[in-house]
Amino acid sequence: MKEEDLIKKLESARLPEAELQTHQRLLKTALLEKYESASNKTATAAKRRRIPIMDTIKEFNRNKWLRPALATLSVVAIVAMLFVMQPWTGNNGYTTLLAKVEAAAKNVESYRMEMLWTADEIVDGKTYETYMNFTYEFVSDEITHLIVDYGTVSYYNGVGTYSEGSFENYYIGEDMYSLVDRNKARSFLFQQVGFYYIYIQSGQQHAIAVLDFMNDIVQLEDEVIDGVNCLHYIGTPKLYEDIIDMKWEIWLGEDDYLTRQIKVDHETYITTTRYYDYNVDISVDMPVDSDGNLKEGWEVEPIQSSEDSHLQTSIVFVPVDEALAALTGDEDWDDVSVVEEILMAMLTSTDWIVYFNALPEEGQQAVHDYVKDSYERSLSTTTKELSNTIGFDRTNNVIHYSNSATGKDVYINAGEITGENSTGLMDNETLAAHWVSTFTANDPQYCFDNFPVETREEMISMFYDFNVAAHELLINELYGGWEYYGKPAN
Amino acid sequence: MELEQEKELVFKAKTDAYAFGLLYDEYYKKIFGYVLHRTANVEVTKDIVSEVFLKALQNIGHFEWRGIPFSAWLYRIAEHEISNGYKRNKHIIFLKQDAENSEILSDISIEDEIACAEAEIQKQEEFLLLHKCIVKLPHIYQEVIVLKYFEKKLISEICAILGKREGTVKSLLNRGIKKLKKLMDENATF
Repeated sequence: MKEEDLIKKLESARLPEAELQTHQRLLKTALLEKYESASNKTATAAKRRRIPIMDTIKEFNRNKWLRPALATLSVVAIVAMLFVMQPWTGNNGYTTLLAKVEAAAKNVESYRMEMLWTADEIVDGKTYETYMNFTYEFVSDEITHLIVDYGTVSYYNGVGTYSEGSFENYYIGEDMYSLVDRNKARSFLFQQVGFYYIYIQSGQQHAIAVLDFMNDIVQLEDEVIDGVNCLHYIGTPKLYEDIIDMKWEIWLGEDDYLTRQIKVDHETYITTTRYYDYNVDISVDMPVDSDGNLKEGWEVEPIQSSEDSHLQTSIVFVPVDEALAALTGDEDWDDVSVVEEILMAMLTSTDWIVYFNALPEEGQQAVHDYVKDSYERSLSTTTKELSNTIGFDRTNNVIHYSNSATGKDVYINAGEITGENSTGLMDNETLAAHWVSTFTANDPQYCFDNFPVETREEMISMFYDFNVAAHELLINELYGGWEYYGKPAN
Repeated sequence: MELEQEKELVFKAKTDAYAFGLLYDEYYKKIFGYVLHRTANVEVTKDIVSEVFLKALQNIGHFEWRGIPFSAWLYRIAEHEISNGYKRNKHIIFLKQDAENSEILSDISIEDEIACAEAEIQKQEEFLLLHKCIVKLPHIYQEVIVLKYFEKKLISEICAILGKREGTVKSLLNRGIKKLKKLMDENATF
């Protein structure tokens, strides 16, 4: 068959126009019924997603090569943490109840906790069901055990990639023992869950703080959680009031006042934390044998240093009691710089909810107002930074470079070059230079297509293999560095 | 619909259900036709189209007008659904709920409509023969061929839909036809 004949066949073989009138009508009705709730949810999600400072946080949580930028992390950026790393547990105005809960917690010697965080994340029209599942065993003051399973979308300059994995840690005395499924993902994993695991270490103290952190608390009907009759409360977290729509719920054992479950229900994600097996004898399979030797696959190192190697951040997390001790009581809450300083201290303490609860009412209001103002300002400054990207569309094998500062918007279709045949021998400088010359060429596609096939394989493999060093060189050259992306909109 | 008119409608549709409904009316048939040409299966097409508009509704708040038609966005969502594989059960549940919740019921059931449309497709032997080979191509070629020859889109429209340059689209078409020809020739020998 000749090509011309094939084209004629194609042109004439078109299907007759088909439509399903009933389906069209029913679908429209269903869509419009869903419109109100869906569009509201979307608007909130869009706002969250389009906040540059939030992207900053996401980036530094997820990309180790942003580490240097953290040293200059601004308060504005750190405020954004409040919107991406929701507490997995967290006190109300019920003084008597609070006293009972605090008293109960003092008798806790061991317990288990399971936290499930779920959210739908939409990337390029595709919805990913992301999750983080923390299983935590508080064996004793000296031994804790954490297993994390996750399925999450990691972002690289606006392009999301879904991945699943897990890791396991023991915290024994001053040491942390790690078993990670993939060594190369280790740093990444800690970044993903790093802030949560900081909270996990504050355990029961943090759980108690939930009650005092909620306004408009209402007692709902008692419920049974894990076979235990529970008092059930719902309230609005103080700091988020009038900012984002969110409810927190807590279930307390009716007889023992121990925390049994905490649920954070936000429009875009849900976090459910169960506490169980209080004061039972928890046996664990220790990462060291009876002779004190490390078992196969395990690594050990000090739990935290001031420069936490696992979080891959320069943030120093200060024990919340120490952070609170720095308060003088004479703070001028009308002075924005004071509020910023307090916020920084709060969010870099080991439990910001405990810290917030301890602030005077005037201070809580000032912090709330600052956060609200930052959030609203950030909503109005969005698209410019997001339009500066180097993205990789894996489905179509297309590289997209956009630079709003220069007005460049380039798509490179890699065609059948997949990078699978890459030798991996090309150095990062050369790789980055080839991409720079491609993106800045008068005809970028022509430029790319004219590299030898071996070179193109190398160039594409850089995106498939997530070559961080080469990306960093490229970003530095094209945008003047990572901070360009993360620069908070002041 | 004129681009400016569409731009205004898309802006309204972010907060106005009626405007979204107008966009839906405008593009339902086009998206349905495209997906049908890609899948040659009415049942599957129905499910994918439902998902495309559901996602459009859920994500219209994200849509930023950059001079590219709204329909291009819908085609891209459709392509994602087709190429990434969709969760059929999800669609069925959604549609079942639609039918149960809807007060508007037609004398002709969806099943009857599907059966009629499927029967009509089965008559299109020439299309089915071509389709059998087209689906063996990488998605990127399927996309351009279907848009160009079945959907009768201009190269400039395909560029907007795929977000690719004219040269790229032409090159994809060229290579796609060559690959398709090879497949057709192979098919003819058996």
